[in-house]
Amino acid sequence: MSTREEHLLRTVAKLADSLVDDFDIVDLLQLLVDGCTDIFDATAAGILLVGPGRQLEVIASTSERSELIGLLQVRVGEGPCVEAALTGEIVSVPDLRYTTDKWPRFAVDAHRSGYASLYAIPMRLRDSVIGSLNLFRDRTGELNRADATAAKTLADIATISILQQRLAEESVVAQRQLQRALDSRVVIEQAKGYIAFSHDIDMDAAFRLLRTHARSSQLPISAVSADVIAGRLTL
Amino acid sequence: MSMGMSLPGDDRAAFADALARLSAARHGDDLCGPFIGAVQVTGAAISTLGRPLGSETICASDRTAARIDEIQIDLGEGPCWDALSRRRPVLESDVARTTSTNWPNAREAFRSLDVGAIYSFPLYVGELSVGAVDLYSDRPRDLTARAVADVTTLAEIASRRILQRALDDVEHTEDGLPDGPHSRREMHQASGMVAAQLGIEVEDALLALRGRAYSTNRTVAQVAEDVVARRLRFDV
Repeated sequence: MSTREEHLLRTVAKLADSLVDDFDIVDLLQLLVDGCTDIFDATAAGILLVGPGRQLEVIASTSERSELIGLLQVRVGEGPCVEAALTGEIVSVPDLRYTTDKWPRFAVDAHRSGYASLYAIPMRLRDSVIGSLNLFRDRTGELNRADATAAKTLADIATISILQQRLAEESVVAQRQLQRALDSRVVIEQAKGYIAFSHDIDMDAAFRLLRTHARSSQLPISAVSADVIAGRLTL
Repeated sequence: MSMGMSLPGDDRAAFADALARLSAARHGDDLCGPFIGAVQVTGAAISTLGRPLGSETICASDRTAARIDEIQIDLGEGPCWDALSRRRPVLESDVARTTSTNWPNAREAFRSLDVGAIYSFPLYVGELSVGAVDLYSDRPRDLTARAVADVTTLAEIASRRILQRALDDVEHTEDGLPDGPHSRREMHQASGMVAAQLGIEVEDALLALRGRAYSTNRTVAQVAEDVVARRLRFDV
């Protein structure tokens, strides 16, 4: 096995770890861009992620050079990297000299950058496009097939991990909300029973007592209920 | 289109029909019926179980199906609980002769129901546990691998439906628990009453209710009803 293949497999393995273990998104994406420049025919790489409200953010790059950052086009809001991140389609620019017509503002930065070509890979899973992985080269021409395929694979693994982590976070929030809602409803019923016995009234009358007190003290009925059954409040 | 009558070559139509009904189910629509039509069982019940949705039966196609779930919720054990915690169906083709040692009290209680087979499928969405759908056949019977796959697919859809309904309702808590044919609201009210009677925590009051039900061979609902109706007091 060649060192390139070994390196590729190691990077795949490290990315795949994020599918089962907790990870930090920024660390993951830095691993991805560093891996790309080490393994593939790329001089530099950068990742854009689409945030809520569809604004784009550079999350990782192999260089702090302002030319690279500018080229990731967040500032001007147009160009191949932005297009890949928003459309979910691969955008290949084999010669960065010929972009003036399509992306005039981007062309200015491209000219200054010193990079010769660019290959923008969308980070997507089915209908979800979360950003783009962008490979910059110092020679013109298309990125070779093998590298393009392998880079897309790495991007796909990273994308799945990020989506999975987001889903898990949403799930935790949903669980908490649902549990709180259930607890609130249960405690109201318990308090109805408590008051029904202690005041020798029926459930509807007990509920009215709770509701009246809740309104006058401007508290949720569930909070008043919790106080009643805990003995903190006698109605 | 067939609605539960299986003819040769027709079985995919029954599944497709069930799929369509579940997918289109709106708030209040019956979620149990599609399962019966898809795999030709006698009855079905669906319950939410444990955290975070609480243990409550959502629908039951007949009294037996409702009892199958009520027994397991009252006892806190049974194939539906196992299915949910393992995230895998628990298939008892001949429940009277089961070799499972996992739920002895539930098995004993099932005897009085005279059911042949019980199939419990978990309901969950990712990490979030929803509950289980229990199918029963009045005669002992194996479920085919195809049927298991079909029910699993339907269960996934039902899980999302139930979860979505619960999330839609998450802000509306001021009216307490909803009423309904299988509602356990009275159990919680009874817990509050017993807590006041004995001066104990509501959790302990609930245990007392369940213990009384178990030892007198009645359902928790029956004991709760007696407490709320003032026919039964715990402090005398």
